[in-house]
Amino acid sequence: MTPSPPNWMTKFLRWYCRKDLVDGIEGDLYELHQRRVKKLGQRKANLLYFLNTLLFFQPFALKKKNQIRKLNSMDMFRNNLRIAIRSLLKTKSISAINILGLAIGISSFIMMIAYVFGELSYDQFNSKAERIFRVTYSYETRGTNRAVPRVAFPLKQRLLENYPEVEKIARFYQNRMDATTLKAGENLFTEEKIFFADPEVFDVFDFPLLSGNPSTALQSMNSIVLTKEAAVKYFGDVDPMGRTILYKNRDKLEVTGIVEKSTKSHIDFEFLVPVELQRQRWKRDNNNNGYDFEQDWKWSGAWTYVLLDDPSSRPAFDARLLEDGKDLFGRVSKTRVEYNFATQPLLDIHLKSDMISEIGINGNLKQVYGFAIIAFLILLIACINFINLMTAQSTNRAKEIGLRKVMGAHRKSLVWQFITESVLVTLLATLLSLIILEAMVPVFNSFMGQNVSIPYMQLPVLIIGILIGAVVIGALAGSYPSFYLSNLKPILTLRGNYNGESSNARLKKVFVVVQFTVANMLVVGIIVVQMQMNFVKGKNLGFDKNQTIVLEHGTKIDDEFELFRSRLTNSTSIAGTYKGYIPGTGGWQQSFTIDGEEVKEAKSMGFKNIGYEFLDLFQLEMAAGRNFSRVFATDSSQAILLNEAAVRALGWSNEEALGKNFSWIGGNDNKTKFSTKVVGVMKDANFESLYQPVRPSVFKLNFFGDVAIKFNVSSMKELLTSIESVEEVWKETSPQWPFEFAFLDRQIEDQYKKEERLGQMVQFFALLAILIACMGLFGLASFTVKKRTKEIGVRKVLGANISSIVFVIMKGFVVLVVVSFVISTPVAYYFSNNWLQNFEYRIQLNPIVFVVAGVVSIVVAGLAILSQSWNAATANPIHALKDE
Amino acid sequence: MQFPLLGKGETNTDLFAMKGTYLGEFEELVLLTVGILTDDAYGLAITDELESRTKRNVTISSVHKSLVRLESKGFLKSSMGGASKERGGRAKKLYQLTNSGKNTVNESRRLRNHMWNDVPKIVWEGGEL
Repeated sequence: MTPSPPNWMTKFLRWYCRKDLVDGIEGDLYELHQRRVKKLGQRKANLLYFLNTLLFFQPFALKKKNQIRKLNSMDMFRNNLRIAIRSLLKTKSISAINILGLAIGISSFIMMIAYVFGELSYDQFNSKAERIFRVTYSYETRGTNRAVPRVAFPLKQRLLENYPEVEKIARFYQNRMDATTLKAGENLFTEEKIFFADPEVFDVFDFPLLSGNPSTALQSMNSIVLTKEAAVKYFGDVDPMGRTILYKNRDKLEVTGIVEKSTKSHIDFEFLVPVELQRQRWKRDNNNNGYDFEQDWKWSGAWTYVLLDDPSSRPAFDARLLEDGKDLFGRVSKTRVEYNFATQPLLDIHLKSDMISEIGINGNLKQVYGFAIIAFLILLIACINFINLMTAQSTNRAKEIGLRKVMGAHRKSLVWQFITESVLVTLLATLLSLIILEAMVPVFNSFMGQNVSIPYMQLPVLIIGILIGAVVIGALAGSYPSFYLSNLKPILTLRGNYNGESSNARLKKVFVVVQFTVANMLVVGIIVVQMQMNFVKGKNLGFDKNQTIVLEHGTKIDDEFELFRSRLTNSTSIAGTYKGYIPGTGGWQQSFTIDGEEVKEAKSMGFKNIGYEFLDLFQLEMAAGRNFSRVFATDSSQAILLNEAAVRALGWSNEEALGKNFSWIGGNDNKTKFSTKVVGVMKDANFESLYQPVRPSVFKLNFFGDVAIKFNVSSMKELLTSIESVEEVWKETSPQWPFEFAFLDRQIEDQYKKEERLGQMVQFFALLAILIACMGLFGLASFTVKKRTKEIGVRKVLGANISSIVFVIMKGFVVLVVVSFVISTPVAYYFSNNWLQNFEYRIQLNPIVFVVAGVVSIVVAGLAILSQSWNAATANPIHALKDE
Repeated sequence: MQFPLLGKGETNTDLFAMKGTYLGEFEELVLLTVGILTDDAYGLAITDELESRTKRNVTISSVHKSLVRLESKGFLKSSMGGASKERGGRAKKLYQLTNSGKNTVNESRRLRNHMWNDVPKIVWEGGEL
């Protein structure tokens, strides 16, 4: 048997061809095909068959418009729409609540989703993102594993030489020890977002250059690439390309590229200068003895990004690197135990990486998920509201439905009618939500310190997405009321006053309970976050941080400091001037050899350089031994203090610790050997972060570090004048640096900004959720009251007083809110406890918190209902009963 | 597209029908072929017949197009014939000449005959007038 022509071609023909012709044509073509298969073979026959079907695509053979069966669905749709609009207008206040509640829900949903997508889109702009990995290393210290995202500079050369799969490497380095000044013409600023980068940075990453050549931009040692905003800051309207910027008063750098900063990258820079510049500056710097970091394996200073030839070569690369690292550091240093190199995919960094000394402030995947969940919860509350109100309202329309059914309406058409109605409401709400969004996004951004934007750039996709979403929500939310309503028995609805309460009451109650459970949990969230934040802010850190300022450029005045200090000692309003480690900052880690012991396990502890005044200034106390003193000449080089945590970590008593020998290798050149004795033990104070326990630390006398000044004043005005006087002294002693300062207590609080922001965001959206839930309750109550008008009238006539009527109405709702309180409490407890585990120092979850949250939601809900029931209770019963 | 001059209920085909009895050359050949094939005049058979007689390439779609048009002018009528295996179970659409179809072909033939007759013999036999 000869094969038939391909089915899809025939289908195509059938699709367009007139019914009365299609059989004849199809048959003819079939016959022709059979003939051709014999003569020309199947392939050619098929091709010709296809050409034939195309040739028939002509007006004479096409289906005529009036041949398509005419449906009246369009007319029905128009009618449904009209009815929907009328019924919305009929109950204006409930419709308004419905639409507004939904609109608020949708707009917060869109905004949070925009935030979530913004967080997820970090570094996605890099076309080679899949192949870019950051080299990290980790090491064991006292049983805890510390991971660091930076590695030694010479690793780059080694990787390029020995690893064929490595295509390019770009390193970043940032000098965080001192501030950088840049100067162009008269414009002098100190800059923080300045990074040293390898010339390959534009080969590995795709930072978009507005002008300049990406392959040569950072080639020369004296070049600088800056963002468009920074260019405007320094050069105004003038074209900055080729102009000169003076780096730290010394090096002239030529602008070789302008970067468009529209992309989201975890490397948040405003200026890029070549790594080579820092290297040469240090080499020629006499204090550093010609220090060359390209030879220094001990200093892990560079964020190193490796571009591999293929993502699949990563496992092999990792394995080799790990082995290599052990071998390498086995030879280089005996004090460090093991370096475990690893790599990190570029796209994981922003949300998943949380190491010491990250290149910038990263996001937090948990937090992003948390927000996505809150977004859905809010949408859920809004949708439940919507369903509840639609269903409640629909009982008003039982008669209409009964009549429609009697007149022969199918169930299907009734379902469609109500779905049309709910889709209309969601569409209106969506439009309104877009307007709300416009107003809300800037407020949100400034309030939360976020940079959320609704990507209207992808306008068509976004709008279509939102509209489809709206239709889906509308259809889903409308499906319950529509099925419920279309199921009503016409005889019941037409007979008299139909009261639909009985069958859908339970579901309505469930919905209210769900809403308030969610709302209640969020209220608990608000309170817990607020309490923890207050606790952290108010926690006694163990040192005195009040009335103290920290100078921004203090690290640079090593030589002038003594002069500066002596000039300030005369002032009565100044309690002390200090140079060294400032509490509230990080400090670094150092390994020690104790009592000459060659220990296998690393004795790695925090290391802090302090001045003589440290204990005085920050009001710290000694637990054993003595403080550093100018009386002992050897103190400056051969004495150290420990804190109690260090003593505990080493398993000694405070007295045992005294006199122990600590030695280590360090200093600027990393070659100096230090031998010291413990002279005292300091009481623990939490210098670093409340996330972590007090770090075991070693304190040594030294004369570099930041400058802090403590005042002793009684009023704000006095404080300001004292600061002014300090400024005058500063200008005389160190005129080359601007006088910039920060209050220490404020600086320490800033550490918790991330948490605070999170707290504020949670609070904001929790409030919205409660607002929406209450709007729903308000609508529901007003509806219930309306339906029970007659009952209330009768009660009043029979002598009920206002309060008993209010009680009757409120009882039903308040019971629901109480039930949701009971459900939400354990869940809320679980989540808040989980969150609190992040903090080393945290509040105890007090049952009062949950009670307060419960009372708040009951009171708020009660108020929403009260106004309605009050109206009903005070109304004249004659109006309620007149039409019986 | 609806032709702007048409009244309510009239279609484009009606407009062409009003052109009256005008026949194109191809249409005339199709009508004659339908006549030749008498009771087995369907699309493919007509195409084959036309091809063999005219030695021209005739596409099946143009034949169908003429058939539809001729039917709408009332020169042809159609009926569905039997289905067969080699047609994949599809029925044939069989065409027959209507009276007005016959008249039109005849009319066209008569016109030609008249004209033939009026051509002076000398034209055919050659020579100078």
